[in-house]
Amino acid sequence: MAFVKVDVSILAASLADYSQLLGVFDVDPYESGAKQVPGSGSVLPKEVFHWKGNLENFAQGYPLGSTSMFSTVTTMIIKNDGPDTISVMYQTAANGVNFNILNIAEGKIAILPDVDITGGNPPFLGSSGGEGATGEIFVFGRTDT
Amino acid sequence: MSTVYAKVKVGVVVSPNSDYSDPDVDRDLDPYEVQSEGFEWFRREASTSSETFVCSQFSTIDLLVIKNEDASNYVTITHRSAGNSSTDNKHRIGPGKFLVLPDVTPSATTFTHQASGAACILKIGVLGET
Repeated sequence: MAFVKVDVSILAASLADYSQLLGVFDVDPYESGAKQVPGSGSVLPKEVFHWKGNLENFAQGYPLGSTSMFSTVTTMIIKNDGPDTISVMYQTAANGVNFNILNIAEGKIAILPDVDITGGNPPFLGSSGGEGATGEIFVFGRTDT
Repeated sequence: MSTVYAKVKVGVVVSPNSDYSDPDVDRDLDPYEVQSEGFEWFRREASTSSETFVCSQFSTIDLLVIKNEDASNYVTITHRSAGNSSTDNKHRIGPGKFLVLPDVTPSATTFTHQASGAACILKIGVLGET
């Protein structure tokens, strides 16, 4: 069993030190609740994967490639710490066989709740420049269907 | 045009316990900070028909957050991006889930939402240049 909570908030202010707030956009956290994973033992790593490092190395087939540890991806979070912009190309249930492509500039965050790997095409990340990009990726998924 | 200083924070907690005690992961990502010209948020109903969400008051969008407040239906979001040029991107946002997009083309004719089984309430936040 793994319980996942993802929280997002936007703080907007008129001064750079955030002392004069214009507003706070606070999204109620998404909570996955309990999920039963087949088998026992090291349950959690099969439900949640955290990657920190070179973002392009993530796309070399693990963990979402041909030897995927997931059968279903429920949510994917990508944070690009730069320096290059990265593009992520992925399929979704909503878009069928077509691919979504998003640019994620340095510093930006993407939270994607509809990543479909059942067609055998894992998300692919590539950088726009010669320096590459580091950052963090969370993958929440399931090993059953 | 005044400047809006915005900070976007994302936190992730993973625990074997329903009260999130003794977490295996408790991580706040480095915030995304941006100086924009505009920040707006909306509470909006998405019907089961495809409807256009107008955000053409923005010339560029730095970040778009959409939360599906519905408990049982998903919402399909269609939008264009710099990465995908004139091809549509499509996402389903499941009940209670949210979508954070760093790459949205603010064209009034290419940004739509459609609920699956019944109308859903969406909470939408937009940071961008006006």
